[in-house]
Amino acid sequence: MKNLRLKSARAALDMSQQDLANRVNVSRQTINAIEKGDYNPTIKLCIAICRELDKTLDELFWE
Amino acid sequence: MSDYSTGFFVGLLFAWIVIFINAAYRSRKHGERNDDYDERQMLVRYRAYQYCFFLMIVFLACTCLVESVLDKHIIDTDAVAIIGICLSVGVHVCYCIWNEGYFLPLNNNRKSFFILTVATAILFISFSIQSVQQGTIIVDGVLTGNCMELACAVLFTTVCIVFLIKRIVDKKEDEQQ
Repeated sequence: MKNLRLKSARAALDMSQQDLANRVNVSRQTINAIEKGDYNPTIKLCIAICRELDKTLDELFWE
Repeated sequence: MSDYSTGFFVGLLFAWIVIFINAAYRSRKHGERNDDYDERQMLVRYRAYQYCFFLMIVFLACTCLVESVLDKHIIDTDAVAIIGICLSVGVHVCYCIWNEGYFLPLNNNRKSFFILTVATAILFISFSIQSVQQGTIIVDGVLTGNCMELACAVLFTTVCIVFLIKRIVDKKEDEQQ
């Protein structure tokens, strides 16, 4: 299932996938896979992404 | 293999080594993020190793089974090893390329990697054409170790094709974004 909330939160900060990937120290393809719903990130990566996007885990990853 | 072919092969091997050393040096000097896999890439690589390991087992089992069922020697031991290795490496590399879990330190060196892979594929294709013309691959109905060039040609050509298709798919995805 696509993670559109992550995509919109990233776009709201005018951040590219590469920018976010650099900030959380993963590859751009990993961010892309999370947004497409192809990869389920670990809680550690979820927290890092939430911190960078200034969102809570609930807002980005909870159903 | 002629002197010219040997020289070309050694040159290509040297180019591979230079590419690896250069990439490793750049990553250390400029702190590029290619010295470590992220969690998804590690998972991809874990799966790739799993697939190539089981493929090797299945391939060896099938070869033994076919030879024992036919009760006839159809493939040399070194040919089994070469084909098994090429199959496993091919599956591992193609899976990693397709799922963006590139092997280090080539993450940020894709163009050089592709050019070298194409050059290596062309080299092995020319070697394998020579082998086919000389008729040394299959001798008296037995697949010999001389199939190495052909196996490597198939391996490198497949890697090139997968790499190219992946680039096209990636570009389309980037355009859609």
